[in-house]
Amino acid sequence: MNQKRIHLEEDRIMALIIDETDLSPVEKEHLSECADCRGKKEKIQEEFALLGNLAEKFAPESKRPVLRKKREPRPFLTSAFGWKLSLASAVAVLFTITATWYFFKPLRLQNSRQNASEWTAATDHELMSEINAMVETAFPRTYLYITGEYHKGLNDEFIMFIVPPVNNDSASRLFRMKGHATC
Amino acid sequence: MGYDQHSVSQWVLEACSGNEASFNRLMDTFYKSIFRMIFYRIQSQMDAEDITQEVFLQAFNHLGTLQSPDRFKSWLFQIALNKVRDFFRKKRLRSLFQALPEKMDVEDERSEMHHHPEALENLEKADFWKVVNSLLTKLSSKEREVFTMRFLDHLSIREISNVMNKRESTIKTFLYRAMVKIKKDPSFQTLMRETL
Ligand SMILES: [Zn+2]
Repeated sequence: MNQKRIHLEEDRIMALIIDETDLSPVEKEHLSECADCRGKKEKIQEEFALLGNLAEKFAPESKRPVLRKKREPRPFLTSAFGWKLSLASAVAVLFTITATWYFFKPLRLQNSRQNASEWTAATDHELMSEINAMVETAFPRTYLYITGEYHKGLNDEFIMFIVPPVNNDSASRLFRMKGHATC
Repeated sequence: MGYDQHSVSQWVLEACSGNEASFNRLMDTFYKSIFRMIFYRIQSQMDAEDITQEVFLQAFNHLGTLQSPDRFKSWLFQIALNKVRDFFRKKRLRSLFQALPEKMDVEDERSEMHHHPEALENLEKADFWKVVNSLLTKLSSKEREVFTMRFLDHLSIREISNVMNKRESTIKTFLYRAMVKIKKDPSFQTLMRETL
């Protein structure tokens, strides 16, 4: 009975404003019988509501007209169906690439050597064409006197001594003697 | 606010299937509350207008991602809240490169008060926002957000819990703490005494 006479604290009234079910049965009973506490509750409620009303009163009105824009087509990936389908496609593509990679792996290994020798042959051929072109369009010997690049000692015999023909070099001879093949 | 939840859900469904008139109805219903909600947080009319337009554009283009039409209002507030956060992030970044910080509209109104015929009302307005700002700065960021949503934006506990992705019990705890702090603040008591 004593509990019923004790008024609700301000903090309890605020808890009651947030959620009425938060009160104990004794507090509920007191509130239903006590006009003072009900008055306090209404006053606090009024104060917080006033704060909201003043905010509304002191907020400006938007002066800009409400923008009405034509709807843009929704990006495919943002639709619920779209992203699932895209994910499935991505998985399928990844699977195909992986399968293709493994299927052609032995063939690729076999081809890689052949490709390498073909590429070497092609670059060799290109280099030789450039050298031949230079030899064919070489300046006459007289020009070497004019440019000062002529040297008596740099004749064919001297060059043969410095850079012997490939077929006669010692390394090739050594290989042949030991029975190795260069290719 | 003059709308019922059933109509809102119906307009959302219609707008989802491309009915622009229904989306315009949604816009007419929530435009003011979204504009005010943004203004309360950034206190600049021009920026609030810009951001409100952005909120509705984003809502318009992503309506299909809304999981339940009943949650439209909370979803809209969520978009608005994210836009406000973006605004402050950009503002903070801008302030790093600027010598003078930008003034808020409320401050501008105070300085130009004497040149306007409605000076007294402007003074009241400026003082009111000064008190509100000082009250809100005494709360933690979560308490401030929950309190503002409940009493300034007039959202229900359930709507706040949807916007903030938090349990209703958590929202109630933050709200209770905020209310106790504000009720005991002398500037709140003065404001109430002068107004009531
Ligand atoms: Zn009582």
